[in-house]
Amino acid sequence: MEEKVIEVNFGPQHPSTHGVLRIKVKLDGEIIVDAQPIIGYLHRNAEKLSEMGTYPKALIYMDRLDYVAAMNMELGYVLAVENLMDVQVPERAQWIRMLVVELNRIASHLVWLGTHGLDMGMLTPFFYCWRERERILRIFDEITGSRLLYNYMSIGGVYSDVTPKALEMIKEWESDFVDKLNEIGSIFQKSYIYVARTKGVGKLSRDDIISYGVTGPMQRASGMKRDVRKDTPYLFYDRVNFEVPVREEGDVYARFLVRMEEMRQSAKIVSQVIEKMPEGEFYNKKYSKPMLVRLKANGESYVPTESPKGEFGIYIIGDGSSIPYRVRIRSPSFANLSSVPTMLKGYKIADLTASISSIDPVFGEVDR
Amino acid sequence: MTEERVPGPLTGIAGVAKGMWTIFKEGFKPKVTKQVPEEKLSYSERTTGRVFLNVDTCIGCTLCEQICPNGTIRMVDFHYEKSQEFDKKYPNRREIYPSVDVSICTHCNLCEEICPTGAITLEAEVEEVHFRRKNTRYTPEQLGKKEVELWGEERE
Amino acid sequence: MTLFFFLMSILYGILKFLHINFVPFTYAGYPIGLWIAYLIVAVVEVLLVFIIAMIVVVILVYVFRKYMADVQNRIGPNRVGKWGTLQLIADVFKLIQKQDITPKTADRIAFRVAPYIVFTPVVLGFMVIPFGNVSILNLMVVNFNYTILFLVAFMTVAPVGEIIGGLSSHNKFSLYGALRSAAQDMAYEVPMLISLISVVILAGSYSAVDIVRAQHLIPFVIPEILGFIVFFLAMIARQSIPPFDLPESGSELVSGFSTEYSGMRYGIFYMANFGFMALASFVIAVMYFGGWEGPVFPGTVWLIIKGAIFMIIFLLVWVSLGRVRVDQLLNLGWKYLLPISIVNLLISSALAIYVTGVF
Repeated sequence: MEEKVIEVNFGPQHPSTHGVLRIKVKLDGEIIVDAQPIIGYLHRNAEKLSEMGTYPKALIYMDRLDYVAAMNMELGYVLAVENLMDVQVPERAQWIRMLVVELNRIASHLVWLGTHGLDMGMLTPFFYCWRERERILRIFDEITGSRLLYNYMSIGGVYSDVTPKALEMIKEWESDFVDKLNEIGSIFQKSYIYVARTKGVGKLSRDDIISYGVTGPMQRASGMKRDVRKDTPYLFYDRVNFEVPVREEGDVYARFLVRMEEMRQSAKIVSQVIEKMPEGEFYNKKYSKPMLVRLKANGESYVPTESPKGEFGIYIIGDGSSIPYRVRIRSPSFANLSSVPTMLKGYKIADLTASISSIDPVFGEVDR
Repeated sequence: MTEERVPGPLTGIAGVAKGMWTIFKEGFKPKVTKQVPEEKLSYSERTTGRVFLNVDTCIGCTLCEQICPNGTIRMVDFHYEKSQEFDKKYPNRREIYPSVDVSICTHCNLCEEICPTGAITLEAEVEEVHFRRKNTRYTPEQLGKKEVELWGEERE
Repeated sequence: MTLFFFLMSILYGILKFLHINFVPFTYAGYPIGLWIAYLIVAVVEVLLVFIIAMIVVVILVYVFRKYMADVQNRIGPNRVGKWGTLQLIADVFKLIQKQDITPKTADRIAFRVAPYIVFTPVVLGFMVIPFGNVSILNLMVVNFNYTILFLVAFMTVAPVGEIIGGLSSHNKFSLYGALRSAAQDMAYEVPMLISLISVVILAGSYSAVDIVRAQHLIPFVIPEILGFIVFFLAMIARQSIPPFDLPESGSELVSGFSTEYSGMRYGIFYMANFGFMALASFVIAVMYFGGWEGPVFPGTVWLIIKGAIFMIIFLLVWVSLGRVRVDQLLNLGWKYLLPISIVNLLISSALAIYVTGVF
């Protein structure tokens, strides 16, 4: 009897591939022999469209990359442009940016937690996570006017101020968020069915991570302690206290623990930011009508930031006119997804959905 | 550096029971959904809903048409008699005003940012009803009205 | 002449309802002459059981949807009918009017027959459960000496329908669903049978009525707690209820063995799933918890209460727990449940020999 290898296509339409991902899997019984991801089903030309408009207009394309954590994408772009043109940003604007970015990090991790539960077969934690996220989205509606795609940051500050009503909503939110998060986490964390399904699955060693360029929570779950907010602090991250969680094993359960702990640390940062925020201007007056001022820039810049998925940055080359010459997006999910063949080899079909949902890819970012 | 221990089999089975108990208790808490046609959802004042145009203050500079990323706004010829003070302060010599297709608009707020007089804004108006596809392109006069005033004005 | 047969059949039905087996004109035990009357009565009984089974399934699906919505902090169906009670009937109408797609390369006869193979044992199983004695009324449809064997034989046929359905659709996902269903069914059938045999040894007979009568002092769950746990887990696994719903895992293989089924064929699989859940809860109530025994109320009400409690326990398990992996499922079946059920068999044999007079 010879071994027969069946090739199955987990197509772009599938209930659990987190977007439009296609994987060609070669199966021998129930064991995966090879897995190749095929992407490109959501390509929307964000880079080329940014190169056809002025600097301020390209912000809305950056919003739509990782639509779950849109503030981080805007921050990456705005920091790169400000670095290119040497724009001074007032202090209150930096604190507001930090507040919004950390709130969005929590919202993104809540989306991950809910869909991860769905992939494991649990139907109820999905609704609990969405209920918690709804409160954060209402806070965003109060501050920026939009729930999901904001267009809030601008070159030289933010677009509008944080109202006192929004601050009240944030204080009310943070008073019981961590307790509810622990309650949701306890459904997963100690349950034997979940632990037996995710322990030892989808392992990535340190060498694999370095060779594929994987960053973010996956990197921290395999023992490397790297966080862009601590290594090269950008906004005012050196003035707040928070810790970076690290685990050694590198499997799906370790990534789960790392992301849960990150949510708690982000809530800690949010409560510190509210206390420390000074009064003042929230935008730079010289750039107040940014569209009317034809901003000219020359040179190149790249500022790395930490998005919920990993290290995110935008590399801009300006050639002296008001339209960027090249905008290149370094998306973390693209690099994380390239480690799929190594991560899946030798495991079973049931581990495929567990591993891919632990990478947490968002396909707006992978395909750009 | 998280010091959580990975649970073994016995604590694991107790964990399963605890998870079921947590979910069972949630059944007695109040519901968080709202029945929408009967109860209304609440939005903030800054919600970027539909495009509104204050025809008195529009000067026809066409900047909103140039900045709109997907061609939603187009300038059209529209005759409108402004009162004396508005005509002196906000003259519109070419007699062109923007018209917006509200079904294509992505509510990205760029037109509001760039308008030099603040004529075009996005207000918290999120409910729209239309019967035909071509009725979604609003004339400048319709852009000044709320949705409640527009119902019943469908034309073929 | 036909009017005479009709009247005789009504008379025979009523007398059977009142515990009187009135069979005139027999020859060596077989009824002759008025056999048409007996045939009509049998057909009417089967139809009644079918209708009762459908009503139970409809109520169970409604309770499931409302309870799942309750636990998830939302309101379930509440627009169709008062409080959403007619929702399932509306769903049935929607499924009936959908286009019935049979894949071109599928095996046509097997594809069409498979849902009915899964669905029929549910109805037949309901005929075997004794619904009790209400004063002198006899609410048991079938009452002979080997009803439990009958029940087990029916429940064994059902997964065969799943395998046929999965194999006959020309689709790799269905193939995986069918293979998983075959493995899971074999792994959990043996512990289930062994724990059933322990109950039969204690009761002394294969008839469901005798098992219920033997529990008039204490219900069987107390001497056979291990057997109860094994039987409970095995029933969850036999009917592909989450956490053991590998053959029809919603998020891995698109829908397992029922991927290619559309419209009412899929509706039959769905109803069979819930029908089995209702049947299993009634069987557990009969075998381990005393059937219709109970102090104050008439017996049928007690059976319905016990069955309802177990249905809610099944639903709670469905809603809260995730899915196990295939090898962990088979490990659980062969390595853990089988030895426990054999130990339980020894315990109950010892009890049956040395403690006489109680059962």
